[in-house]
Amino acid sequence: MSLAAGLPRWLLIPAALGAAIVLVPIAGLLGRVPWARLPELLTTEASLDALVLSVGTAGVSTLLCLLLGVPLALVLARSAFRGLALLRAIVLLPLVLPPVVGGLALLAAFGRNGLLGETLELAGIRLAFTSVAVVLAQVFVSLPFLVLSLEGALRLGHRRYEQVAASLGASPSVTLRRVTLPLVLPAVGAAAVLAFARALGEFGATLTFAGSYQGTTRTLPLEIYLQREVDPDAAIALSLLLVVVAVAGVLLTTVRRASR
Amino acid sequence: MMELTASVPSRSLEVEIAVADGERVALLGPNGAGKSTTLDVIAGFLPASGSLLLDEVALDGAPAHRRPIGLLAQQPLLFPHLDVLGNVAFPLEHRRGLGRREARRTALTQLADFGVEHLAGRRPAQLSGGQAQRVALARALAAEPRLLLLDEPLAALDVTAVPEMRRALRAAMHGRMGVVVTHDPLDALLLADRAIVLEHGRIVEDRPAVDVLTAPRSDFARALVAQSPWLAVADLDALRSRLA
Amino acid sequence: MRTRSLAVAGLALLALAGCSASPAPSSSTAELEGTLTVAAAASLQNAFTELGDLFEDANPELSVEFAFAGSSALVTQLQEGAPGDVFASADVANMEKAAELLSGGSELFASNTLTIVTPPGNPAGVETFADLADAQLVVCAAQVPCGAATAAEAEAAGVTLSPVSEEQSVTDVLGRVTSGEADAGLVYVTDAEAAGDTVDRIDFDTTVVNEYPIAALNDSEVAAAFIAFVLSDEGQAVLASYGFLAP
Repeated sequence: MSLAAGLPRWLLIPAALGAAIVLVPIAGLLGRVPWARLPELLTTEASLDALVLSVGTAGVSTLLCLLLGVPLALVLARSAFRGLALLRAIVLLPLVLPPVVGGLALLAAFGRNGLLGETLELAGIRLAFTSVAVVLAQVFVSLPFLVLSLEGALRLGHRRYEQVAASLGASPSVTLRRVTLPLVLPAVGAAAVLAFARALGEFGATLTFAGSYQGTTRTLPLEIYLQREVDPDAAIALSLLLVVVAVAGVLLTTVRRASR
Repeated sequence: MMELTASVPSRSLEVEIAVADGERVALLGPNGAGKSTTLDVIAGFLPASGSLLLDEVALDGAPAHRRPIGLLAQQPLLFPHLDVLGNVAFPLEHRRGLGRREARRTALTQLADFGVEHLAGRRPAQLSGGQAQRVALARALAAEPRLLLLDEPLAALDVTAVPEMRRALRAAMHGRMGVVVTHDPLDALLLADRAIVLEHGRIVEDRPAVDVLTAPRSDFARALVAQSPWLAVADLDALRSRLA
Repeated sequence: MRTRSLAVAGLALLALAGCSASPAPSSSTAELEGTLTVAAAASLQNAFTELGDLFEDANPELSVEFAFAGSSALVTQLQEGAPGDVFASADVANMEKAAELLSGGSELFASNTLTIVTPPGNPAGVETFADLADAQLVVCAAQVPCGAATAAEAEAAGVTLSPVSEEQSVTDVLGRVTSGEADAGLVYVTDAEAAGDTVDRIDFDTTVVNEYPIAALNDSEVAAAFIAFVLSDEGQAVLASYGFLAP
C-alpha cells in the first residue's frame, strides 16, 4: 500500500479537495435516500420501464459507437491532411456543446422538417419520439467521448508492429484484424465502458430530440427529472440506481486494467 | 539480384544500390545519413521515386506485404499478444497461405532449426533479449524472403548473446541477399562482403568491406576506423574465416 | 399675530392635503422601496413581467425581481432557501406543498383553461378534442399542473389520448407544435395567446380549470402591496389581456 509515492506531501491537499468536490455531494445524495421506501420505489412500472429502456438503448448506442468510433479514431490518428485539425474539432464538438443544443441539432437534421428528416418522412420513417431517436441522441454525445479516449492509445508506436506484419505478408486488412486491433483492445474496452456510462446519463439531447414517453423514450435520467415534480423521494431513489449502475461500469474498467 | 534506384527529396536521399544473389552488403554512415530511410524504401514503407527490381520483378509500385523481403530490427518486435509459436506461424499463414494448424506445426519445426522449440508456448515478454531476437529471425525467415534487411540487429543484445546471434544471421543470409545497417565495424566485417557508406543521403563509398575498413576513403569510414585501431593491426581475412 | 399663525396653519393644512393625495395607480399610500422578489409559475411570465413594470412605475424606489420556473421547482427552491417575498403558483396543489413557507393564507388571483394548438395550417386537420386521439399529439406530463388538467379533460371527454411525448413544461409542448414536430398539442389559453400566429388555435368545451393562488412568504409591506396590486382591478385587467380568466 502506498500513498502518493515519489510525490511531495503537499500535493495531497488539493488532491483531497478535488476528491471531496465529488464525494461530498454523492454522500449528500446517499444521505437523502429513502431506504425504507426503496424497494417499492424502484419496482414501479415506470421505474422498471425506465431502467430497461436506459440499459437497452445505452447498450445499443455503445455498440454503434464502437462500430463507427473505432474506425473514426483510427483514421483521425493516422491521417495528415490540411483541415484535419478542424475536422477533428468538429467531430469532438458534442463534448463541449450543451446536450440540449445537441438535441436541437438532431432535430434540425432528423426532425420532421429537418435536413434528412423530410426525406425520411417521405419514405414513411419517423425518427423523433422513438427509441431510435434515443439511441441517436446517445450516440451523438458518446461517440466523441469514445474517439477522444482512444486517440492516445492509437497514436502509440504500434506502427512498427504494423510494418513488421506487412513484411511478413499481412495485407492492411489482416494487419488491422490481427495486429492493430488486438494491441489496442484494452484501450477500446475502457473507452467502451466510458461511452456506456455517458450514454446512460444522457439527458438534454434525449429530452429535446426524442421527447419523453414511458417505455419508449423516458430513460432513467428523464424519469428522475419528471419524478422531481411530484415525488422527490422517487427521484432520489432512481438517482441512487443510476449512481450504482455507473459506478459498477467504471469499476469494470479498473478491474480490466488490473488484470493485464 | 536486387537493383535499387531511389530518390526521396524530403529526406534528401539519392541512392543507387545493386546487390547480387547471395551477396551481403553493410550500410554504414553517420546518424541521419539515410540508412534506415533506404531500408524503409526497399521494404515499401516509404514512397520514393525511382525503381526497385528484385529477381527482375519490378517492386516499386507493390505494397509492402507483397514484397518478398524480411526485416529484423534492433528490437525483436514480436507481437506481444501472440505466443512464440503464434508469432512464427503468422507469416506461414499470411505469406505462405497455410491453415492455422498446419502453420503452427511448421512453425515448431522452424523454431527447432534455431534451437528454441522449447520456447514455443512462451509469451514474448517472458523471453530474454537474445531469445527474442532469435525468434524474430525465425519468424522473418518463415516468410521465405529473398532479401533480408537488418537494421542494427545486434545493437540491443547482451554481449554474451551476440556471437550466437551473429552466427545465426550469417547462416540466415546464406543463399539470400542481405543489407545490414550497422555501426559496428566487426559486424560489417563478419556479416557483409561489401560496404556502402552513406553521407547526407548520398553514397560516398561502395567497395569490398575489408577495403573500406583498412583503406577508408570517406570521412565517416575514416572516423570509424580511427575508433577501432585493431582494424589496422589485425589480419582481417583470417578473422573472417575464423569467426564466420 | 393671529393672521400670521392662521396663515401658517393654513399652509400646513394645504401641505398635508397635498401629501395625502397619492398620484400612483397602485393602492399604496406611501412609496415603497427596496427589492421585491417574486417566485412565479412559468405560465405567468408575460403577464407578471408587465405587472412588475407597472408596480415599479408606481414605486420608483422599488425594483421587482422575478424567478420564473415550474411551480414544483419553485417550491423546492424556496424550501432550500432561495430568496422570495411572494409566491404565485400554477395550481393549488403546489401552493399546499409550500404551506409552511407562507406567512399567511393564499388567495386565488386567476385561472386558466386548456386549448388545442396546431402548426399553422393545421396539417393533420384536427377539429375536435376527439380528433386528438389519432393525431401525433404532445401534451404535458401528468406530474405537472397542465398535465393534470390534460388528463382530467381527457377523462371528462371520454377520449383516450396516446401522445408521442409528455413534456415537462408547457413551453416545451408549444415548442414541439411551432416547430412542426407534433400535429397538435394541449396548452393553456395564455400560451396560445402568446404564441400568436405561430400556431393555429382550436378551442373546445373545457371542463377543467386551473386555479392560480398567490401568497406572501413574509409579512413585509412590499409583499402585501404587490399581492393587493395583482388582485386589484388594474392587475386583473392586465391578466385578462393575456388570456387569463377571473379566479
